[in-house]
Amino acid sequence: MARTIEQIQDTIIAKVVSDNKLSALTSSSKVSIWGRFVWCVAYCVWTLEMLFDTHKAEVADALANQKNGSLLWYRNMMLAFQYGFDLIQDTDRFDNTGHTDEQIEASKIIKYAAVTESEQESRLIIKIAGEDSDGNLAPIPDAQKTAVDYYVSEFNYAGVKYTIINYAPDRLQLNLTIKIDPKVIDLTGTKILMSASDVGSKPVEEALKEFMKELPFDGKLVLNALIDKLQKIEGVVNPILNNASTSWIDVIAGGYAAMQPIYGEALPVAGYFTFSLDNPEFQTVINYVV
Amino acid sequence: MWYNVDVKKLATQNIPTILRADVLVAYVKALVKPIDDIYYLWFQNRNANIYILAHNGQKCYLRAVLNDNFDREARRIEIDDGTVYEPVYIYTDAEITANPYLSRFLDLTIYQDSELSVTAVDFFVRVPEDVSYNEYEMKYLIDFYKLGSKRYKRLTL
Repeated sequence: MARTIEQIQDTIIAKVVSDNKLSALTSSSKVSIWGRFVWCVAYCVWTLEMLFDTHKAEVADALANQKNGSLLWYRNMMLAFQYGFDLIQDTDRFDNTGHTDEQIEASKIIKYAAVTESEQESRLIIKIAGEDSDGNLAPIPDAQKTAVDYYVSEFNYAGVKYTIINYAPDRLQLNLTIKIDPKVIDLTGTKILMSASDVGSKPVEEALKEFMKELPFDGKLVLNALIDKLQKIEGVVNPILNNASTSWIDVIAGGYAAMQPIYGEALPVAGYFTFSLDNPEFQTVINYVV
Repeated sequence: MWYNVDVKKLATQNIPTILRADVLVAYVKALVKPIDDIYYLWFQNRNANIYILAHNGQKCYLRAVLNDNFDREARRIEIDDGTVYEPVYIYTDAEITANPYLSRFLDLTIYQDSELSVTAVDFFVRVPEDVSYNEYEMKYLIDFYKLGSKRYKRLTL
């Protein structure tokens, strides 16, 4: 903590007063010449102390903001990626000069990222996903992925091994039998009592879509949670999950691997799931029974 | 900036104008000389502190440190992750004759120890041939900034 100029000045004056050899310096005038000299020196000492203080705060601040290379830091760095912007040389920051906030926001193409450690080796698994025009999760296109690769290799800690996973979503195939209350939902799954806002709505299908959206990125799919969600729908008496299976991109073979049954819960390899009611390759079937 | 201070000028400015005779000004400058010396030491120290704080083991910053120190103008020193290969057991001729399936191992590439995944280094520092540097100084700098547990190898291009 810096002293005030007056405190420093008083220290010097006290020393002068207590010294017999300096007894000639008696003037207490603010503009006395010897008082002026004391002031000059005190002022310089004070400036120096202020500099020390500012520097101390500056260093403390820099230490607090130091990058620690934690998983969370890696995730934040992924989300900070800006497509089309150049990095300031020898740093991990993008050069945003002359760009509007909207442009900067639009260039952040990685919307979802999850970073975990590999179980087999010392390696980071970085899962990323962007959004398509409808706001659904989608892989980052190849051209943009090249830029992401370069960015990661620049900001990465030298020597840290990593794998970026930017695959198409894991496929989820469900086979459901829904026991319905025929007074509320008919056998095609359509809600009988319709208001103007939900003409022809199929509550079970909507709940499924909603459930997939609510699933966090790189979050576990828990089948029981899905059942719970369906159970809450008005008109559903008993939702039965006959079968659930998933398949993910096989990088070596190319394309999706064979469907694997899910037992209880599943972690998506790509970080997220997709399901379809009409694609025959992984069609989700819902049977309505009374 | 706030850290640029001319102590001598500062002291002189605090003398009333009518007293600013050459002798007095010189005297005041002499009075604050020790303060100026400390300021200079602090200034150097601050630059070093800030530099250390702003750089770490990230590839871009580690590269900046090495280039700042050894190749300031051209900045050609590079860091890369290097390719890692799986080691292959070398069979003897007798083994291969006995089992023709092994003949595919006849065609082998020889890699350095540091390129194999078992003994591999984690990153390479590529230094152009005409960059002269003190080996110990470079080792110190890399060890100072790099992440613990990461091994590296210096390559001259």
